[in-house]
This record gives sequence, structure tokens and C-alpha cells, in this order.
Amino acid sequence: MEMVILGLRSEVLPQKLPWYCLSCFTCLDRCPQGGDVGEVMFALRNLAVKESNVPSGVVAQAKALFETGRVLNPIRTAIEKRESLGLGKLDNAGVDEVQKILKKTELSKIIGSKEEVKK
Amino acid sequence: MKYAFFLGCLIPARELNYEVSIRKVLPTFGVNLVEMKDANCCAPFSIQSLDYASWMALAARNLCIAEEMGLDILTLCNDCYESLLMVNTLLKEKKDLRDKVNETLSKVGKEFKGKTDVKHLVDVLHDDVGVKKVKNAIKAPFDGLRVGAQPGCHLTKPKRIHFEIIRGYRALDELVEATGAESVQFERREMCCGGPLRDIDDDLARQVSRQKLITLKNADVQSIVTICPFCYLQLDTGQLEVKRHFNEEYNLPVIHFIELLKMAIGMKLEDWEIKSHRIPIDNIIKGRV
Repeated sequence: MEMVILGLRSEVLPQKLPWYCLSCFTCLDRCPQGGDVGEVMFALRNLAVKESNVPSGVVAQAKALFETGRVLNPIRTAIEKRESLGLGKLDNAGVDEVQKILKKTELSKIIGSKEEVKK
Repeated sequence: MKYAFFLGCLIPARELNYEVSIRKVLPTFGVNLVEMKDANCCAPFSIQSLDYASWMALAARNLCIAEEMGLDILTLCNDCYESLLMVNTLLKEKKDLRDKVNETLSKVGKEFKGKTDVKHLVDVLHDDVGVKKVKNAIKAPFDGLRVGAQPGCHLTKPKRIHFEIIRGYRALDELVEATGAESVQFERREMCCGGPLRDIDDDLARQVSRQKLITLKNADVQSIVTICPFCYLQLDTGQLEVKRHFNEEYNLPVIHFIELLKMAIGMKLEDWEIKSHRIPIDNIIKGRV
């Protein structure tokens, strides 16, 4: 945060630092000035994303979300277990609508470009 | 009591033992779980980190589904809870955000109206069912069992969307103690389990989990009780990773609160449910199978 105030943009955004925040919001509840540190960290990560700084695990989650409507999907054995327990099939998580939303917000572009970078 | 049942991603993917117990136990307290057809991922903090607008629109889509059902949402996961509750609160409060999100949602024929509330399993059991009713249902109490009830981050934080931190902790403690177990206080209870750092920096995630395990061990608990599938994963499976990397053994069994309640009201855990715990839970189920 201090680095951001000092204008050290290039020292902060390309680093892992913004991604080390746990989003636990303890800072927000502790700050006597009511400073919303957690929110600033989210904004920083949104900026870092624009500079192509995204951990691969986060990209994988977003890709899964775009393709299936869920960030995490059951593997075959979990699907079979689910059926054997009579828990009912998982629906398609509204994936068509999810894709329309993410195209509109252009997250699909962010995921796409990261994919190209990786290749 | 009827709720729009929000299952989330992690539970059906990895923690069927959690889902099965929820579906068996809650109806015995008159809680009717109505499936939310085609609900998407809650859009957790990772998506919020990527892009604020996507996070809000995806969470809002789920809120719209519950509004159409005319029901409040019941979540089983602290992350789903935070995401849905935060977006619900922000969109109810701020017209400019609501307008923006509704413009996106119009692409899929939906509109956020602000007519649903978001509740955590703990809220529903503590406030709607009531501790008294839970207590009255106990047939096989866990007398004398010392448990560390891990609240996780987003049951109580940030306080702008909750009443106060202490209320959430007290609610959890009262529910745990209704089963006869003792909810032992431990240091830095508000601290994160480390789960959010998975996929970002696994090494750091393990260090955070290790701190949690140390404080729990110091409090001399016999078991960890969780109310969040991330805390469960991080403290159960993660405990094996801590063991491997730090060569330290904690042997702290981890159990979902609903599983504890299930056994306390006289239901049994099946063999596969017991085996789905990576750290053996023998000391909890002793004499109950």
C-alpha cells in the first residue's frame, strides 16, 4: 500500500505481492480510520491483471468458470459416487448465460489473452 | 422453513460427505432445501480479483434466481456466503452499481431487484431453527469432547456486511455446545486457514495452515470443527501437506459441523463418509458406528 502511495506502480503490479492477500478482511475490521484495505487490494489485483500479472491457478479457475459455469468440477469418480448416492445430477450451471455475461464484461478476453501468453 | 439451496463448486467436487449430511440432517429440523436450477459458481474472491464487474454480475445472476424463486439463499461455504452477501448488500445500497450490473444482466434476461437475503448454514441453524430446537434433538451428545471450532474468515468478516464479529463466533460456539462438545477458544481464531493462497503460492498457504494447526494444538483440542469447505480442505488434506513439508505431526481430525450434529442426533456416518476424512476421525466416532 505504501508503495502504491509512493507511486511505485512498476514495483508493485508485476509482482506476486498483490496476490498474497488472503481477502480475510481482518484489516478492514481493524483499521481505526475505516480504511478499506481489502478493497484496495482487489483494485490492485484488477490493475495487475491488466498488466498480465495473474497466477496461473487463477486463470485456470476463470477458464473453468467460462467453460462450465463452475470454477471447480467433479472428477469422474465423484460423479459416479454422486449417482450411486442418489444425489441427483448436477445441472449445467447456466453456462450459456455465464458465457454471455463474461463476454459482455470482457473477462473472456482476459482469459483468452492469458492463454496466448502461456503458449 | 424454505430456502434456495446454493451448493457451490467445491462441495459437489470434493466433499460429498458434507453434502450428504446437509441433505439428511437439515430436513429433520424442518428446513426445506429447494434446488437452485442452473445457478453458476458464486464467483469467489479469485474472480473478484480478476475483474470486479464480472464478479458482481455472476453473483447477481445467482441472486436473481433466488428472487425468482421467492426465497432466501442458504449457503454452506464461507466464500459463497461472502460473495453473494457482499454483492447483495452493495447492489441494494448503491443504485449506480445496480444499474451497471442490470445492464449486463439484461443480456441474459435477468434483473436484480433486491428481494432476497443470503444466509449461512450457521445463521439458519442458530437464528431460524434456533439453538433450543437443536439442543432438544440431541440423542447422543459428545460430552467432554474438546473441539476447536474454526469460524473461517467470512462467517463474520467484514463487519460492514455482518452485525459484529463476536456474534458469529458466539452463534457457532452455541451450536457446537448444543451437541455436548466443548467449544475451546484458541489464539488468533480469526486468522485465515490459508486456503485462498492455494493455486497462488502453495508454500505460503501451507505456512498459514501450519500456524492455525499450532494454535489449535496449543489449545489442546481433540478435533477441529469446520463450517466452510475451504477450511475443511485446507486443514484436513492440508494437514498431510504440512506433515510432509515440515515433518510435523498434528493428528487433529477435522469434521464438518453438520457431521458432528448428524451423529449427535443419533444418525450414523457411513463407512465411505468416515474414510473421506484424510486425518482419521476415530476418536470422534468412537462407540458410534
